[in-house]
Amino acid sequence: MLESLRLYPKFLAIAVRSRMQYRSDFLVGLFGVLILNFVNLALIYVLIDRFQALAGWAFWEIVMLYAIWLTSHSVYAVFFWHLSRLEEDILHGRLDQFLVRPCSALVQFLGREINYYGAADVIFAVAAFSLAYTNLELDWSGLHWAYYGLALLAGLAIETSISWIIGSIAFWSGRSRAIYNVQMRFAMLCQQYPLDIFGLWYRIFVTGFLPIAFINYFPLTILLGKPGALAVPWLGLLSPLVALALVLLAWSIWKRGLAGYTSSGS
Amino acid sequence: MRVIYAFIRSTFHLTYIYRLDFWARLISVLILMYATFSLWNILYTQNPGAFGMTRAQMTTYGVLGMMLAPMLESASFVQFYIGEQVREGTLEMDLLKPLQFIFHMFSRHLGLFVVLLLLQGLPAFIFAALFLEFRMPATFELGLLFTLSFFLGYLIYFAISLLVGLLSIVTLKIDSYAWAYFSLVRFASGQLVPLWMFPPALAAFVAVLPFKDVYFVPMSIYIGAADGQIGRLILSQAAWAVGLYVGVQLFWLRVQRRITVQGG
Repeated sequence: MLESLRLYPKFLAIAVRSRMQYRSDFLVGLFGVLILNFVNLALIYVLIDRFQALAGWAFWEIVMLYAIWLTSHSVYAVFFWHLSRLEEDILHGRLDQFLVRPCSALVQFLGREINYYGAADVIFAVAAFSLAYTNLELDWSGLHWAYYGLALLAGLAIETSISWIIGSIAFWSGRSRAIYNVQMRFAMLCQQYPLDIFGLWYRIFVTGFLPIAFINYFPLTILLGKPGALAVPWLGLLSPLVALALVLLAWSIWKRGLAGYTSSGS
Repeated sequence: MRVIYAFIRSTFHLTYIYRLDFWARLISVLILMYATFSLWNILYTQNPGAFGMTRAQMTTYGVLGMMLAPMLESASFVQFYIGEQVREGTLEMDLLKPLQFIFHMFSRHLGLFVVLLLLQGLPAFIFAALFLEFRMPATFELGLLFTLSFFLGYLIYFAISLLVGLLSIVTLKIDSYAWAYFSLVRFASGQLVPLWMFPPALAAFVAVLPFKDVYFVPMSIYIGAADGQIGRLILSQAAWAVGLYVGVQLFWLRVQRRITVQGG
């Protein structure tokens, strides 16, 4: 496994070089990502400008909610996004090539692709976060920053594990992309809107069943000292634990799926 | 008519083959409807009567925007269809068919529109009526005018997408811009936030574009926010539709002359 991990950066370097073949496409893509994020926030700005606040959340607080989600999402998108498309490799029997080489199949799979559209998201997320931090006149202590860093890592782990679990479902069902797309709907709503605007069942769903509220919402309630939509103020502190549990779950599902993998026979 | 019917039938078959994707898309629409409902519900509980609208009018507006999206967005598929034909080099197969190209594109996508109306629009409507306090138009005439305006909106969006698609034959590849383009369309069409809530300068800019005629105009007619100016709005939609189709025809004549089929 350690030997495999040592190869990971080399795989990535190859992936970057193959992607660089399409440089103009890359620049246009970056520009597109910036516009997309800008429009998302502009819509929320128009709403809050006209209605003062959204369920007790001011505009810059929502920008921060958006930025925290986007920061961990962008890292996920760059390195792990293709986990969500595992079904294609399973359906076409392309996983075989990873299994015959003396290197971890997971490392080979992850190292095969890099999606640097995510890079524009990082730029946008950092800029949005700084603007929000300034406009909210925050003054975080070292402890706050440490927790913020931990929450970003946890968010990355949560989104990656969810994608990994859903991708691995294809080992049994053959298809999983559609489930991923539905999951993405929930994730994008959590990115833009505080949980407080939704009903109780929705809140419970994205906390307990599909725990995406732990990516940005609950950690931010801790950082901003807000009560939180489930009235449990310390829920955000659980974020790293949720992340750890999901990673372990995803890892075991992946291993089981791979053990029973019988290729597509084509 | 027979051509359109044939396309409707073949689209039904395709939907059956990809039924998992179909279910995923329907569930996505339901989630989005619920989210916009919650959003307007909160905003209008905070400020009842803002902009002279009631809470029920605005939640209906929000839910309607998400309900219409599968049908209206299907109009934009034409640009990807043409783009793919160009990339794969199979456009000449379509030119060989004994159908006028523009009419062929239209019937193909109208088939999709009908299928989506029945399999996505209708279930979404039932869900919204049962769980999201979705209201019917105030009067029967309003409902008819909405239907007319909705269809004009579809025609306008189809013509715009056709122009973009034809543009991809000549020069521009849309694929990399697609996300950005669609997010701008959603913004300028008033699908989520009605135009009267935009800051004045932005509203004035958006008002001269045809995107507002796709979502905003039919939706404001539906909730009764356009009473007294419906005639003018529908006329302006019709003018856009006619203008855009004249543009499409002229552009197509030019493009047609530029297509060279490579001997293969």
